[in-house]
Amino acid sequence: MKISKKLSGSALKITTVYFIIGSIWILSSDKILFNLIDDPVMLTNFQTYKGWLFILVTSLVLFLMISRTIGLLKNTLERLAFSEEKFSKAFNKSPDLICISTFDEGKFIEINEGFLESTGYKRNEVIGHTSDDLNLWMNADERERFISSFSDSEIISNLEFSFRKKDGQIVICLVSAEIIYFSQQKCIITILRDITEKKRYEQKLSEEKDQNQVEFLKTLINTIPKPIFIKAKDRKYVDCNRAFEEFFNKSKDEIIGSTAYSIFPEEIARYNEQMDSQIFLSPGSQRLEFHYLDDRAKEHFIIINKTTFIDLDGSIGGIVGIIEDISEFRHMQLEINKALEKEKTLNNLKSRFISSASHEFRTPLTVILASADLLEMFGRNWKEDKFYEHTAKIRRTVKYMIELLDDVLEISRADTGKTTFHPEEINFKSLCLEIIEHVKIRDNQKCVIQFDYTGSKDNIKADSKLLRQILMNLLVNAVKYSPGGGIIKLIAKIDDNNVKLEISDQGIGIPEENMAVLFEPFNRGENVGSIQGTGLGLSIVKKSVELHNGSIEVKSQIGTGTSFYLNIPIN
Amino acid sequence: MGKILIVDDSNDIIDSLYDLLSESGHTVYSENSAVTGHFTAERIIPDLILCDILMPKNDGYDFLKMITSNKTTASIPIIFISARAEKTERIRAMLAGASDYITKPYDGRELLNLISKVLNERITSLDQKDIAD
Repeated sequence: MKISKKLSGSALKITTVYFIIGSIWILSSDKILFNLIDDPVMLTNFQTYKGWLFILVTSLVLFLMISRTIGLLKNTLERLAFSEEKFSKAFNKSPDLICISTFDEGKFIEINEGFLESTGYKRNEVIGHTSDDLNLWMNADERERFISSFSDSEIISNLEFSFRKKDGQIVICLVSAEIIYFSQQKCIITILRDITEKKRYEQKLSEEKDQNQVEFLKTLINTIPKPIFIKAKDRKYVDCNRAFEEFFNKSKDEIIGSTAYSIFPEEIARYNEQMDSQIFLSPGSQRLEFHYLDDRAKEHFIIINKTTFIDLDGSIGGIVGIIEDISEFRHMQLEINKALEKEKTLNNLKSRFISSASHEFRTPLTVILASADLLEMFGRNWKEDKFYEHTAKIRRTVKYMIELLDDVLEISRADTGKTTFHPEEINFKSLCLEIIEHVKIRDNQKCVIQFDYTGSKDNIKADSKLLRQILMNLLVNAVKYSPGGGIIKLIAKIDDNNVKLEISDQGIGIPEENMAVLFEPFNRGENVGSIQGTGLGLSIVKKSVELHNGSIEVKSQIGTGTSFYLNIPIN
Repeated sequence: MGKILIVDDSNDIIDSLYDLLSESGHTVYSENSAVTGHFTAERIIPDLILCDILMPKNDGYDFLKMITSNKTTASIPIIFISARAEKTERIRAMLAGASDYITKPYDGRELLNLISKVLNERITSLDQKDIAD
């Protein structure tokens, strides 16, 4: 366009110059000659050569101008040829797909080699045909989208479209296009850059990135020491971490695809399934706390924190859950509660003991004080025997108080764990005989004590102090609650491991209602009447037997007598 | 001087009180349990009862109920003599209707003074009742 305009301009310019020079010559040449030349001959000669001069001058001017224009034209054509060659090379050698098509019909007018190479078509298969003829677009919508892109502007750039190659393969291209006018026809020059490989690479990279993220998450989840699981909507396990496998002692293969019934006892599994159904009905979080016994009868206390997760399509994908094993904490808590309960019981026992001890001390003190008061107020007027009756009472009561005090201290030592067990080699038979003798002297031979000893050996390993307390208390009680002349039996049988003792009397017996608390401190049978006693002897006996890891039983009948049966380990 | 009934499960205490009260000129009766004590009280209508609180089966409070719920014995004053020294126990006894409360071990003279005071009050109240009748 520019070249033809330029050529038209040059022709006009030459013609105009020729017209002006010619006109000036015709109008002014004669006048100038008349003014300059007075001689008519010379004027005539000049008139003759004037035409030749005009031709000479104008020929010269025309030559100069035409030469210049031809030079210009030549230059322009050279540049044009260079430009065309450049464009042609660029057009054909471009790796991009370039095509020129008519706007209205979409017929291809020109295509480059890249287009042919990429699409697999031959030039004659494309030129004069439309993209629809070649079935290039993925679908009709794509072509519509392409054409409608020109509604706002004559240029579009870098829009992504998919095309079908001759062999049916799909390529993804970045499309830039511009409306041009080619031989007065509205056309579109389109440049398509095949980004299929790039896309594939990007997708691969993205997939690798996703894969890396998945790997990272898997490592992270496996590193977490708490059991984690994922359940699908059908309440089956779809994944779990290592801690989960270890916690339930099952492999992932065993777990995946199974339900709660495969890892929990039936009742707990049912509860879990019910709660799963609930969380699917109202998605969110859920916290379950329960305890159960596993296959190895081990008790577990666990908390399960569950949360629903959303799938790619926006629906509930399943549950992710984390298990917290609080067994140790719960067992510790139970131990602490037990210890506190024991402490409380001990404190109550101690308080009751102190209260009872206080009461037991006040009674003999009252007797002593009353006798002292009587002696002081009326003793001067009393006969000697009555006077001494009260001094004897004071002495007797003080003796009882000392006995009571000893027993209280003994019980207190046992309760506070100060009574220790020191087993040693002792001659048990000799010990029994010694105590029997002591009791006889103490009670002035009130009863007959029969001793029956059978056993493979006399020596046993036991705590002599504790055994002394056991035998002393039981024999003294037997004598105390028996009538004068009553028969008391001490039967001892010794085998390799145990001493079996039976101490029986023909005394007043123990009422049934007192049996339950017989070994509790300060408890005495209701039928003891005026027989003095601290109510601590049997408590001391029981504690001494327990320190030997032994046992004691009692059988009694009111008015007939009482028998104690003891089993004391001797190893 | 008055007629006094002692109810206590400890014979030693009964003996001591018996000597103290009889030497002081009172006529003394004694029983070992609440039930027998109630029978005796109903029979002899004492001027005063001295009663222990901690006794097997029926304790001092049971005995107090037996006495006060029986028209014949309802007006007899009862002094509790107990080994329980807690203040709360004293308050409980007074609220239950005891005339007084004395803890073991007691001072003989103090006990005699208290008995005299309670007996005088009883005589006064009986006199007033006679006048009213």
